[in-house]
Amino acid sequence: MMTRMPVLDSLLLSRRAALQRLGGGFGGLALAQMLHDPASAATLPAHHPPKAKRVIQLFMNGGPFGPDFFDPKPALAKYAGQRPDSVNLRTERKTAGLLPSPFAFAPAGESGVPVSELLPRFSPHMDDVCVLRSVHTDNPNHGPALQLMNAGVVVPTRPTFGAWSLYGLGVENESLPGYVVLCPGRPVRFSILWTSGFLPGAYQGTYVNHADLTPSKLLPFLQPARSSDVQQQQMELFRQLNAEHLVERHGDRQLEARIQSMETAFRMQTAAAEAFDLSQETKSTRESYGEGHFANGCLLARRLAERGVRFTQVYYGNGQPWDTHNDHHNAVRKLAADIDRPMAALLADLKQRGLLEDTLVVWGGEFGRTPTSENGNGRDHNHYGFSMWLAGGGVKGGQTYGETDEFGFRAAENPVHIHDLHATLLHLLGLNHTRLTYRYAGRDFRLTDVAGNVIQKVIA
Amino acid sequence: MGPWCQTGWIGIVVTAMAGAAHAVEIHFEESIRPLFQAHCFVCHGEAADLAGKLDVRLVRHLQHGGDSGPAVVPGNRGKSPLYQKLQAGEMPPDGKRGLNAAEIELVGQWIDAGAPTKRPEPAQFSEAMLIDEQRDFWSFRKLPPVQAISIKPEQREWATGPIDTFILHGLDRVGLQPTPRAPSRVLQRRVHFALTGLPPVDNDAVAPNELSSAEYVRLVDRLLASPEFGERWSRMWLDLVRYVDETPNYLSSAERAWLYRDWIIRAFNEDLPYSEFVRRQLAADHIEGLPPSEFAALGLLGLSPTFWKELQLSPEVISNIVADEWDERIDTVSRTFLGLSVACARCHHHKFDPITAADYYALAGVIASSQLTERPMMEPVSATVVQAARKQVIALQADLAKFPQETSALAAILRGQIETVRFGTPRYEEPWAHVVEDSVLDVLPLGDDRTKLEYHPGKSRDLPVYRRGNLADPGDIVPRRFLSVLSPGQPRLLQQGSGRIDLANALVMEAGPLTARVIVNRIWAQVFGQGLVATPSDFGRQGDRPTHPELLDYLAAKLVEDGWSMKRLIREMVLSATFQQDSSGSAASWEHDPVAQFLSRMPRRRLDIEQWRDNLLALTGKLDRQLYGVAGPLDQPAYARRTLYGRVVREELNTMLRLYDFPEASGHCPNRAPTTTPLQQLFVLNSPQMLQWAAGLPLPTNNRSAEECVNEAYRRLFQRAATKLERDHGAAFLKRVSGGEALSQPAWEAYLQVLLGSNELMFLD
Repeated sequence: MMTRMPVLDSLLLSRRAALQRLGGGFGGLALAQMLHDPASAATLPAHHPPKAKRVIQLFMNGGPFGPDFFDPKPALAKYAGQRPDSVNLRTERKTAGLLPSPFAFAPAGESGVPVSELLPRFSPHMDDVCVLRSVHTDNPNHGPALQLMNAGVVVPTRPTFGAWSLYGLGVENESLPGYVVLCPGRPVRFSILWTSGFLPGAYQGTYVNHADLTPSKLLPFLQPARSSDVQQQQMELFRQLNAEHLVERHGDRQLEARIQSMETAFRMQTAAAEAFDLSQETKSTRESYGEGHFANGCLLARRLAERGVRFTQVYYGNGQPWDTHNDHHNAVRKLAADIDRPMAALLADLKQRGLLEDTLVVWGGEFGRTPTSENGNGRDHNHYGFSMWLAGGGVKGGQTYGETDEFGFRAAENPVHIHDLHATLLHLLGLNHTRLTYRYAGRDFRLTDVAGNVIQKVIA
Repeated sequence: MGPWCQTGWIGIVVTAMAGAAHAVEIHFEESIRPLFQAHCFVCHGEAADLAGKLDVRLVRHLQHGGDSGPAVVPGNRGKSPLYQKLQAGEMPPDGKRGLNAAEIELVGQWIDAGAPTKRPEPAQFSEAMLIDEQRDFWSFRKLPPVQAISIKPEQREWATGPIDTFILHGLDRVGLQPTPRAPSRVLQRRVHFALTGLPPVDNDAVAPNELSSAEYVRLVDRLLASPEFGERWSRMWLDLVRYVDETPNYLSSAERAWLYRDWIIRAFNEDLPYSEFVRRQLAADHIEGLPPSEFAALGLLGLSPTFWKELQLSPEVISNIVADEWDERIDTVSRTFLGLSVACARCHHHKFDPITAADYYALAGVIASSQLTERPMMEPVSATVVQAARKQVIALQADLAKFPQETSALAAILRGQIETVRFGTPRYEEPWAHVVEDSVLDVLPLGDDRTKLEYHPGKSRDLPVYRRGNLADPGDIVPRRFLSVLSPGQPRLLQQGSGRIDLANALVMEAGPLTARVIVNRIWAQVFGQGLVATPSDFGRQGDRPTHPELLDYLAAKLVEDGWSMKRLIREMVLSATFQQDSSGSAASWEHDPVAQFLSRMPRRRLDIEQWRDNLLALTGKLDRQLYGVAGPLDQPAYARRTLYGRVVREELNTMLRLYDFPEASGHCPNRAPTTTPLQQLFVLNSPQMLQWAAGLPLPTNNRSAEECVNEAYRRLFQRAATKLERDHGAAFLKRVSGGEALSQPAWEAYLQVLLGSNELMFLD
């Protein structure tokens, strides 16, 4: 098992060695120059040839119900209101009988993958989409399940997927954060969902509330306060002074991380303002995505993917809008209407720009919902079996993988645990999940802990 | 935390235990049953209909077995179906997350060792038995007597007190040496921040010579006595109790929250014993002989988050919202004082800790008998008059609101009456504190499907155990009482009024050892950067174990013996050689103690946002040192009071605070996790605040050279001379940006901005 050196470490170790050779005064300067060298902190070699270079995750926070969208379950109607013995339906909360999904399914694309009427615009893209029908996770509560989907475990000190991917692959664009989390508002758990855990702080996600699209409001204090010339001089002085301070302090990681993030901040002023500026999109592109926070999030994600952001998450909305404990059908009609057009536009747009082939798009919630009813017309959390989909980035589209039982409750055939999902996503990024390790507190940690299998069948 | 509690932590805990298993005997009660409790009890124990007729709660049942015969054959894991099923991943069934590999191995070792129990098992399993067994959990144990700790001769060169002997003992075990004392300048800066949250400036700065031990002690005592001490330490507390100055306007007001904040500052400055600190915050209204100003202490509960109660909705819905409020308050109280998440037992027995649903509802009764209200801080005689006048004014204002035309003669009369009452009532304008009072709330139907709220001051009530947290499914009434596991015999009844005073007394008496350990650990984390227990609000089974258990026990016992004096405790910590170590550390220290948990060096730390902002204001001479009072606007660059006084808005945190890891004020925050992000650096580059602060130091006049200006800047900001390199870089910068030898104000400000944003001023060695 190979332990990968953290990017920062490998860089700074070599720099430190250089410093020692050069001696104090010059050393500071040398370090400053090296830190500014954009080539030095760029991408790292993958374990194997990657199929995807970046990931966009569309996060339906709250948890959608698979059989409403991609996993038709006619048996629900047959046994409506009943609790048949053929499946163990016990969940954490008390639910009543089976509640059929009222949405009609039709085969989509050449592949004929069934999709419900809730997604009329998205369904023509199913030939690029691989539906995972049998995902399962470990916890039926939002907070822990959100953490599991992001970090594989509930332990708050563990890094999230985006942090691992940056650690493994480095950043493609030094002038933007490599890991961006878009949410119009905030999910029910906050920064823990994009933490770098024990990995260096440079790998943490950057949270962006895109409820207001003014670029300078998306990222606070983005507008340069001084002329470009003066700021360049200031940056040079920061480098010189912080480098000298660092030399006397053994290259303390937290000091290095701040030096690094100062550089990123400087470049972000121009790069981010441009990247986050949706007004630069054409009218027809804006129209193809439609209106609303989720549409804007998808379009921002495409702009960021285009600019090399490694991992972009788009949370559907503030809080947990997909948490439909009441009036599920009506709620899901509205939710589906909100995502249908933007998802379709995102795939089309990526494809048209040649980005879909190396951009992996992931869709899903932190868990699914029960086929049984709660409060009469709602659905409870269900972590035993739910649907997600993958597209682009080396995914074999036009297929479904795995099955839930006849009621869509529990992963029955080819179950996909979160660890399997993570292993597969890392694999597509060119990383072997068993070799992507980090030594911390006396042991090698990895995203998938001691589990995880790459699902070969979803790979093109 | 919502009605669901998270699971899945036990992995790490037990991995650590498995490591220790070679040295100590594995007992069912301590090591094995907790695993089963977390993963198996639901089907094989607590279920009315035991799965496979197997009960895993007692070893005798395991040996007897269920439908498939004995589950455990002592001495032979190979023949024990229980082990086989765990190993094969068949249990828990259906791919449900179960024991991890280390835990399964621990079970195997326990079976091989003959499946021992620590003591003879009773015939029947009972919750009470489980609680009895877990009384011996490390954090619940009695504190050891404080013994004189003698420093061994070979330790004398470095150690200054008992803390150091414990630290040395820990270092010995991992083969590390402590680091020598930090240079005086570093130490002075460190101890200033530790005790006051401010840097040494001008007058306190900086002895050119090495600080002698005696001088250091005098410095410490001076800082402990300064009013800034309370300002710095109050913030630790305010994080825990989710202090806010403002809540969303549809919720109960927090307009005079500062009275509570100021009470906390004073309590630290006056060294109010921690036991009394606890008692007054929970029940100042039940303690005889306190001056009325002490009612402000009740802000702990008086400023609790409230949730919107839409009275158009049914009583069932509103009752649930009320129950959510209880939940948050129990969570804050139990985690703050006890480091236990009692709120996890709202729906079911705690999965990891010996806390039952009955425990939860016994405490919830106290909370449900205490309602948020406001109260003038004056003797009853005056208070009654002012309260009556206030009522009268509210009624008059309601009448006035009925007149849309302000000009009408009647409205003028009403306004006149209001003024008469306000100005005619002595002390009418004095601020009222946010408090709780003994009172119960009835959520009642209004018509068919609406709700009305009725408060009954002076009343209190016991609650039933609501099964699965479901208010529609009440079980037996539980009397208000303290947690069973922390009570040596029958739990203390919490029945005087709401029971808050009894609860407070129980926290510092029955639960005194735990309460002391928890606060000692919090204070330690403030002084040393990280706690002896890494999970400061979880001292239960899911939490981390202390890195230095004997030290924690010693300090906790010392705290109690010293009459719960927090100042003495802090003093002992900062006087230790451990605290005075340099943060450079040896190569071995960095390699084998990477996060300095063994304290083989003093950990370097980033200043928190309060300390950093105050630092910059103080160094540029702009800090407004006024104590106490109404909170102010942090987003206004000219606001120059300490960050502590910046307004904190629940659900809408100030951007600067949010960027720098300040907690959301909507729930208990056990500790802040420092992060480093580009967005923080954008604040340094571009925020109006930074520009304002950078304009704080005047450009030295009289045509001084760039080099002299640099020297002046270093003297003021870093309290040291600039190195040659720093002088050269600085002078070059000033000249370049000024466009010549004559230095310009903009260049000077741009220069100071860099110095203020440097790592040297952001981190503490």
